[in-house]
Amino acid sequence: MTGEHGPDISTLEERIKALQPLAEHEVKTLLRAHDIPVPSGLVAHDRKEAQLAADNLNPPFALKVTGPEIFHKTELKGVVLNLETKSELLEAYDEMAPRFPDNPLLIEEMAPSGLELILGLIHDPQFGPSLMVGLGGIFAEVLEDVAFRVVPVDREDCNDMLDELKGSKVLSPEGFRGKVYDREALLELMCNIGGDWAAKYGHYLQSMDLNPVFIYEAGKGLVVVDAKMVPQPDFQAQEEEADTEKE
Amino acid sequence: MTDLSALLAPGSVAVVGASRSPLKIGYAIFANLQRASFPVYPINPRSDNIQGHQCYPDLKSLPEVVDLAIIATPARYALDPAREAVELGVGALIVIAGGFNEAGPEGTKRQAELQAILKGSRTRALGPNTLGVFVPHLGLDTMFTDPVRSPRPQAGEIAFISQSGAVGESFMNYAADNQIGLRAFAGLGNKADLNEVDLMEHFAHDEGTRTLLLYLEDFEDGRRFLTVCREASEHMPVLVLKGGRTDRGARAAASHTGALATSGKLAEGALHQARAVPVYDEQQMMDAAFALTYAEPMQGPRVGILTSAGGYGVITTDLVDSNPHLRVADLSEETVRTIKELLPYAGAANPIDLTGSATDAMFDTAIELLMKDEGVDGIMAFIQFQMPLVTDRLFNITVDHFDRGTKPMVVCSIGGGMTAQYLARLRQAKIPSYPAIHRAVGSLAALAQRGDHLAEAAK
Repeated sequence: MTGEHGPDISTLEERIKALQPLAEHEVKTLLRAHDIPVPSGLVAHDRKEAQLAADNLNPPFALKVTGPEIFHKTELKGVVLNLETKSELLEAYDEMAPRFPDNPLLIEEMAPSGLELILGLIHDPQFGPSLMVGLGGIFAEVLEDVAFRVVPVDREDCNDMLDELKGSKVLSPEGFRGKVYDREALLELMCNIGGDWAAKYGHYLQSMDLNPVFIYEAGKGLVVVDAKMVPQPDFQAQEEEADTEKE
Repeated sequence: MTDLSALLAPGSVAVVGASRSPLKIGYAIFANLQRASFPVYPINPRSDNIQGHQCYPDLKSLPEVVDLAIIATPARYALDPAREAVELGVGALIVIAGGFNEAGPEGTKRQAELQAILKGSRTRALGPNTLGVFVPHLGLDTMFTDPVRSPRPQAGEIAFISQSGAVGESFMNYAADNQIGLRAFAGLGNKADLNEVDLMEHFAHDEGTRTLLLYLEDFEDGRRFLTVCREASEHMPVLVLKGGRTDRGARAAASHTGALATSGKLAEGALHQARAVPVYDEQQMMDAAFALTYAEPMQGPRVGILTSAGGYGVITTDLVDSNPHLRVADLSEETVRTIKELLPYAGAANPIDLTGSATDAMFDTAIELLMKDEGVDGIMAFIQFQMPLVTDRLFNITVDHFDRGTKPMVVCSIGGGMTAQYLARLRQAKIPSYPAIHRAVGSLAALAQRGDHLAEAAK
């Protein structure tokens, strides 16, 4: 697997605790450190690094602007997908790089498409950090087909969440119309994010979105294609509240 | 755990602001406490005698330090007696008046002052802005409503905690008319001190409570709610109606009680984790409360449907089949064969349709078969008492099966005045009985969810 030459994990964790936003590639570095699959990728600060990425990664490529302050990269025309060859990639790099002089670009191997899911953490004012899962794409938006649980969650909670979805049949262990998706890998991801991950970082986050997550057929796992973390703005108040509880 | 005996089982009570004027709430509250099994003292510095009882000028002039002081004065006069109560060591306060957090900056300031008075003391307070409590077996009734216009239920086993006074009040009126007994009602009001979790914890450990009902618009401490609710549900079913599920509903709740918004979906997930049975309107809450209090939980989702009317059998089957907590049972071969032998005209599959020629004996046999069928977890009996060959004996047959039976049964009956009388008699016999199919099916779903929760807890 191709590594990352970003900051190390402890630096990232310090920045989370300081309520600083992370760039997409940094969130992915953290995910990878938690054994959560993300596409192989490299960050290019200049053309030489872009060339290096092109030589070390397998096409097709995705090219995205990355930075802690970048939240709507598609609207900024900061995403190009399905670059089939090295030269296409470098051409796209040459076009995009000058438009984002202050940001590096993330070059990734395109993940094969799978069933789209969304997974997230949100900080509820009454229940605190909570896990969300849903079918992605139009299902999440049009049908609001999502389920929540307050963290920490266990395997049974995660199974219940999937069973609650209107589209639950698609993810059922028996499969639907001959297609069985890797529910096991999804449960593992949910237990991880709604377990260790939330315990470590949930307190500092207003929200985290893994969207989309591609899930593949049984045994073939899943991959987190895009990831975003938003720090908690009214953290101070919560710290005080937590202190009062301890008293 | 907070000891709430001073609030819910006081040895003595004072009504601050008891009044001789029927226009004052202090008049009604004192009058409604005359059935109490403990001394009740009126307090009013401007009267010597109220409703035939010696009146005292303040709390410290009483012959004893009371367990519970009900402050029935307007908000602007409520803080002085609260301070006096705290100084004397009164166990609990109920502050009835509105005019606190729900009433602008002045009210918010007043509520903060009340909280400051209580802080660090042993005195716990319910409200402000609350109807207070109703505990029928003790004659504890702090509500200011007229019992003729607003009838009170008999003593029973359901405890109801409500963030809305009116939702509590109308539930009690309905309960009074529908043979539903109440262990206690507590109105949370503005939750300046005691909140839903404190009260839930109390009732979870109360031997006389069999079912816990909550109407909430927000969760004061969501994390603690989850823990305590889950514990409570090991001992009793907990039903929660969470108001403000939708965006607009949440806005209405914010202006009603200042509730914080939690997405409806998230609240739903949290209630699932808390092993509470969610309900979505006042009627579902009452229907499910009755079923969960008087019928056993379903051990699984499979419903056996019995009817004497084909069309109603079809409608029932649709509602059961489309309910996420229920399934239409596959009846055993033996059940099907026996029905065929005994009742050649009947539809023998599920639903069992006894047709218009149904008799008492046919109902008797069919209920017996469903009770014995191992593929059935719960029974929905659609009984039309107006059928020509059915007699009044069917009432006793039904009661007998319900009482002896090893699995839960609900009854649905649709008709006119005679049907209404039968439904009332069935409810008096503690059989969950409803005048609408969706209500009967909804109650079975509540019983199935309760069965799930118990199974999860036993894991």
